[in-house]
Amino acid sequence: MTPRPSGPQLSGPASHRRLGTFRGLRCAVLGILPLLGILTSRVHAQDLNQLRREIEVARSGLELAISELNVYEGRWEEAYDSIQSAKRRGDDAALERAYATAHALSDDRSLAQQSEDSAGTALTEAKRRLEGGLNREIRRLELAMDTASVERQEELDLLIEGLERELTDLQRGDQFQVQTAAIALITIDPIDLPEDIIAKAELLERRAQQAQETIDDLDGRLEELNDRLRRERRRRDSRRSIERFDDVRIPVGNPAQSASENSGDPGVVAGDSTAIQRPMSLEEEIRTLEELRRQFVQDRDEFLGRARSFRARAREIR
Amino acid sequence: MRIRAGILVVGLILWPCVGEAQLRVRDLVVTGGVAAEGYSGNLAAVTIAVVDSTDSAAAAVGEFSSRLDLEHISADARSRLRMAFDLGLRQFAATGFKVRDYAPREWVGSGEAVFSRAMSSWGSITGVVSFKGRWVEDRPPMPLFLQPGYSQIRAGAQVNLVRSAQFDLDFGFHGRREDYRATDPVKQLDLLGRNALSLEGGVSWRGGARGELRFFTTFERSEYPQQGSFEPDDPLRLDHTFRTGLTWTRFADEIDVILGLEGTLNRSNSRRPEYDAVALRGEVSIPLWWDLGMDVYTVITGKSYLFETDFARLVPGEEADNASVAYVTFTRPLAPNLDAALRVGWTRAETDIGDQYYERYGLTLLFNYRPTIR
Repeated sequence: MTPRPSGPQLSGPASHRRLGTFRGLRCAVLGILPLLGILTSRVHAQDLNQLRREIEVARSGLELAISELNVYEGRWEEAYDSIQSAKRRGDDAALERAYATAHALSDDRSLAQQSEDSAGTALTEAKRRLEGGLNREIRRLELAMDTASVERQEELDLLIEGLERELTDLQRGDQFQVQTAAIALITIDPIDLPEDIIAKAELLERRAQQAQETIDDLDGRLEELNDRLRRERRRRDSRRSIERFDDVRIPVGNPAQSASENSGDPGVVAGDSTAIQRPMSLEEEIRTLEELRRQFVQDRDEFLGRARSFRARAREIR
Repeated sequence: MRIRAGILVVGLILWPCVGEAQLRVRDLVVTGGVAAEGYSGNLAAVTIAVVDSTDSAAAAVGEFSSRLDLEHISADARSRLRMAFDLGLRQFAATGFKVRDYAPREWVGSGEAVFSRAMSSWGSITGVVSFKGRWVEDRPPMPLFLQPGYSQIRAGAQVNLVRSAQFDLDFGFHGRREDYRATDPVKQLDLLGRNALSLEGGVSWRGGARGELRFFTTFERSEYPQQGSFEPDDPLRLDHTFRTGLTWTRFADEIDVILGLEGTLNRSNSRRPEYDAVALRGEVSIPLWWDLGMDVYTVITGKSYLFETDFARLVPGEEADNASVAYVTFTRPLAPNLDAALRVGWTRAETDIGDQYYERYGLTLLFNYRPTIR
């Protein structure tokens, strides 16, 4: 019994032709693969370079935002000192001007803080993307090691080592931190003794106390302004209820004399026009002071938090 | 049509702000209340169809209204747009008349947009557009005088020049158009319609704690397209009004004061409505005990006509700015967003027959609710 062929018979002219085609294809594929490898490695390198450029741009943006914020922090400190100084002298006009300056700075400072936040977020995002890119590239090179020649493996080793170093540096990262100018100046030096650290903590607590005094002062002003707003609303209610049905235009008086709905706004606060060249309404003034108060509360909390950590550090050293 | 045009203008102003969603509710007030009022004066009125010979009348009144104030401030904080909308309904149940009892009902609605922009060094500019409408049903005879229904559109602009920390100058012009609804058989109301243009200049002095003083002068030209002058050479009535005065405003030390003194000279191509008048206006807000606040609103006027006449002076015409009014309102907060107000009011005003006066007394209890305050 002749065994029945179980597979394709690779004999005869047709089989040879098919075999030749297969070998040609394999050669072609084997020939193209290195080319593809070169091309993809270039593509990956380009991607990584793009990601590196992005991170440089983000870092420059953050540095710029920080320097801008530092300018406003410096001015904020000056305004803060002016407020304290005017309060000590009991100079109401100077205090009014100092608050107006702080109002004007308040928005710019908030915007600069927002810019710094956005730039920080952009840098974090850029870092995350570069980390992902580096990890992918390292994995790709490790896979390529399996099939690479000895010389190529050494090359790849060096490449991987470089990328891993870059990744470590990136993960260690540059710690950008922005603090108010006063806080930034008060830091713990390596040579500081516990007494020095406690003295610095006390300095921070004094700054917190000053901030609290300003908050109390702002609370008083806010209460006064809210009283004025209530009084203004009461007066407006009274006037509108009289004028609404034309009871004061009897029988048909001159409508030009009837006050505008928006005229006679008593909510003008002296000194406000220095900031925006437009008198502020009571509502605007209240909103601005509330924002100013929020910033002083934030400063006070930062001072206190820092003082607590200084005291803890002093205890550790002892 | 004009009301719709007014709404369209306000809508066009509002549109960019609504688009940016930066409109802020400055105030929202819903008011409800009741009043008891008495009227005296057995008088006739040309603009009222019905006539009654009673010497006095009384009315129970209920009212409901709401007011919405909106504000938009530009990103650079230099521009401000304020809008105010007001709607009201007042229902009377009047008694004491000889012919029959009346139940007049008033509907009022108004809207105003004021845009102001601070210019960097020299001052600010302001533009205003407003509309107002009023409808009255079952308008009663004297002495219960209710203003007739009308619609009004007003627009204007003003420039404020800052000369120094203490002095401002301002110049402005305004135009307005009023249309009184003539309802048969009171066709005379149609005669009240007028178009007016006014120019105003003022100088303000800011004295800090001493308040602000403003001197002003206004010139107004009023045309009455439906009204004759009885002068063959110049058949349509045309008035020129000159006003000058001063206002002192002081908001400090818990007491708010606005005082104004104003003189008016009205000259016309018709001799009948020519007059001179002087008015003293005052608004004072004073805090009292137990959270009680008192607001006083007064206008005291005196007027003299240049020529004596037996004919009706005020109809057709609008020169009745000789009404004297006094309102005292006591307000007490019942909750952070609810106030109760008790108001005592008195009015003495001229009817449309010159030199004849009627009086009105009222006691009103109002509740003002602010839903946006918690």
